[in-house]
Amino acid sequence: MNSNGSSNNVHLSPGRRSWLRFKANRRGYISLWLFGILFVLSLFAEILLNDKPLIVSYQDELYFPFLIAYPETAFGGDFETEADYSDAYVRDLITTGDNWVIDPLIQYSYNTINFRSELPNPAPPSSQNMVGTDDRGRDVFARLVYGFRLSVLFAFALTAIGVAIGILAGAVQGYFSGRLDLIMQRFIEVWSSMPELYLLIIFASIFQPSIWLLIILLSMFGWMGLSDYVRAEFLRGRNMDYVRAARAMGLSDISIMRHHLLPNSMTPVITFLPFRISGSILALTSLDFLGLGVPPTTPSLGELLRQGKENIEAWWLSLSTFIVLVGTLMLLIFIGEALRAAMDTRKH
Amino acid sequence: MADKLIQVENLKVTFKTQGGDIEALRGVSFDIDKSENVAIVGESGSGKSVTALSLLKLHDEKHVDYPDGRIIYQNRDLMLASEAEMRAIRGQDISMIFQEPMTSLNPVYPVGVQIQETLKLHKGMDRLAARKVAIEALDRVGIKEPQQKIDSFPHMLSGGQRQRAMIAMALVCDPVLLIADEPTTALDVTVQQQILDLLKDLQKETGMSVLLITHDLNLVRRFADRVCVMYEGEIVEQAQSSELFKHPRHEYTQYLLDSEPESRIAEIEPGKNTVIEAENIRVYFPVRKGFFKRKVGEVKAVDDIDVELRRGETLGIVGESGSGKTTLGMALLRMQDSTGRIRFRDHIISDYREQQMRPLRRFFQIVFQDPFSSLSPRMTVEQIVGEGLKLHYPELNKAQRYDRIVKILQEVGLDQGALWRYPHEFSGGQRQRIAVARTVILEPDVILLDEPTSALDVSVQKQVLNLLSELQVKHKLSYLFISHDLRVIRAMSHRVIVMRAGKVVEAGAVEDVFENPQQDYTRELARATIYY
Repeated sequence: MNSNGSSNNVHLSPGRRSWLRFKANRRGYISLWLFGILFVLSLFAEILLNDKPLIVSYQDELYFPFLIAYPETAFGGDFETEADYSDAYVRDLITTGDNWVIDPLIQYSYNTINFRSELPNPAPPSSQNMVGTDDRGRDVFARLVYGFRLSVLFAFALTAIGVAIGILAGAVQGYFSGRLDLIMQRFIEVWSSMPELYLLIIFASIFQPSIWLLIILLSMFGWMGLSDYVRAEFLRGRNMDYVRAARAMGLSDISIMRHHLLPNSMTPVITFLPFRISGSILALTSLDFLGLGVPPTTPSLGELLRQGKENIEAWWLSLSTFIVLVGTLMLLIFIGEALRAAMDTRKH
Repeated sequence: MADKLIQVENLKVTFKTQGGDIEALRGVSFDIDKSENVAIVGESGSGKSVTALSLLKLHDEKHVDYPDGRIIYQNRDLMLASEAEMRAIRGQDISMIFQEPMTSLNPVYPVGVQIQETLKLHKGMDRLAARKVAIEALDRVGIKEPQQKIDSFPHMLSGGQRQRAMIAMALVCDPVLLIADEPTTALDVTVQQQILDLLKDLQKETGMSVLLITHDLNLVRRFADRVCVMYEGEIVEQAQSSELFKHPRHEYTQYLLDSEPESRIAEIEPGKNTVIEAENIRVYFPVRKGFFKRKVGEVKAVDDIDVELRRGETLGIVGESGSGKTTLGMALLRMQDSTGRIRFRDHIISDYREQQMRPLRRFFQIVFQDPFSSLSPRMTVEQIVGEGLKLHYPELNKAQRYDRIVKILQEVGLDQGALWRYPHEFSGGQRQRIAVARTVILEPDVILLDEPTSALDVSVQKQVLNLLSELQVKHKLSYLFISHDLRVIRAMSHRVIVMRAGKVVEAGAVEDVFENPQQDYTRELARATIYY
């Protein structure tokens, strides 16, 4: 009777087996790779897409303009201001003679305005701008890459904070239950009936809008949906025999919550994770679309969508943003699906 | 052959799963005569319930395949019958009662409505006529005051009454065959007996046949005319009941008969080595009512009980569900608030706060009834068994801890390969071994065994009981053994407490209580379980 089931995967650690389960979901696995590559590339956007050269060798000295701002005078120019490397005069200074330059792959940053464009802005895709320019002459591709990075980082931060607060609140409510649970539940009811959007509009007019303000404001409200589920799981779990066995063993409350209840309450957390991340991306996008989001110069997908709406004939604006958004959300959801299967220890 | 009611020939059933097909039945043949009681006996997973469901074709078509076999009923092959034809047979000719009366009755309708539904459907009765018949049916199954009880919701009835209502529902259309799938498993022993007696009486009265599905050989001995023993999807032996118990031919039948728990009472060291001494233990639960939650009364779950437990001794606590035996056990281990004095060694633990109790916790351990909910599904066996070690023996390093875990797993009969696996990968008996390993590794003095074998098959039950008594001798453990099963208690305990409604009905050495019960209640309990 004892040999029953011990035939395969005996010596695999739990983590390794989770990874195998994740890999078994081909779609999620491929999505993870694709998303990982895109995200890592976007993290190095300053090296790939920048209007400043990576390395300049001027009179046998090395300069790193993408990291450090040098005045034009450093390269023998006239102005004390930072050198404009797309300017023909400056370019001439740093390329003549023994001087050389290593440029990024694409020589536009998210706020570089293409003054040399022969077409009126927004300009359609051309040899200069592969996805065209927006209404201020900025390169759409560069803005998409930087916007993608900002959206994803924003979503990760918002989700992490929301999940942490949600789990903490739900765990405390569910485990201790009784009066504490009652008070917190009432607080959540009051708090969740606050009109989030109006608060955002009000705060946007009081404070200088910034990405941090957005994270703080959205985090204050984003945890509530999740805490309800975690609370329910803890309420269910605290009466299970394995929790009583743990209490009989003399484990402390915190240790029971962490090692016994939390792992068994992760199902709703994991299930909602991909939706929370994509929801956060959408939240930022729609706030930017409404003009309540990040400050105007910040690269953002929502702002590009709004430009697309205002310049309906400039198809490259809305179409490219649409593809990036849908692609990102789809990859995230596929990954989330595989993650869910990986976390299910009962699945072989 | 004219008196054959139903004939099953070479029935095969396969379950379609993602991992491939599973053969649940591999050619089962049996028949049931008119007015005959046939029992199918087998352990969980042997295919006995699958057989019962197949007779009515109640399996989900999407997941189940019938590759071969015929079920002949009234010169028709039910395997070829359409869904509409089957519906006419179900409830009308052949009806069924299930194990769990709480879940098989719909909680949002009164029982009367559920009985009347069958009547309206099959007999085309109107509301008033159906109600009249339903009251008669409830009366027939021995429910007192059927006029009032007909409007009760399932939760207002006791377990026995619910099962009676289920039987009334099944019998209301005068079926020729009643399939009873573990009809008494969820009930208390004394109630079990009543239900079986009722079935037998009704059967005599109406002349129907009964197909009883059960894992409990004892039930069968009393009840069935003929017995089919099932093992891994096949009927391995089929014989008249009296014949089967006298001369079991197949080795599996012999094994099953053999696995009745045998007495394993170990000698206790002489002298008064009291481990736990408790006086006047009381646990009252307040009953609160109204808006301000005013206290209007008390439920006396444990009412003034004294307990003494010696080193190496097993104290059996017997009683029906709701008698307060688990509450008493929990109170003794300070897992449940109580009044009274509890002494453990030199500690008066009834005065200790939770903080003071924690270091002592390792001396009191619990093994629960359900090995499926007592192990955290997200932890590996190594984590489960090693957790208490980490807490109570922080001086051990990782390698020492590992050694101890491996050693204890060997002691409970599991190999090293179990370490990395999760609880769901083990059978019920193996899980219970893990639960035992988790407690014994802490070298406790007292283990509370809360129905440790009730959820297990009989043959596994015996193995676990043997393991427990081996460990008791080896580690000088004291057991508080809670069970409703007197046979198990008798096999394991030195002394026994019989509880009813929070009070001790009878207490003493196990032989005295069982051989010479002083109280009616104890006698009734003993009669219901022990009759060899």
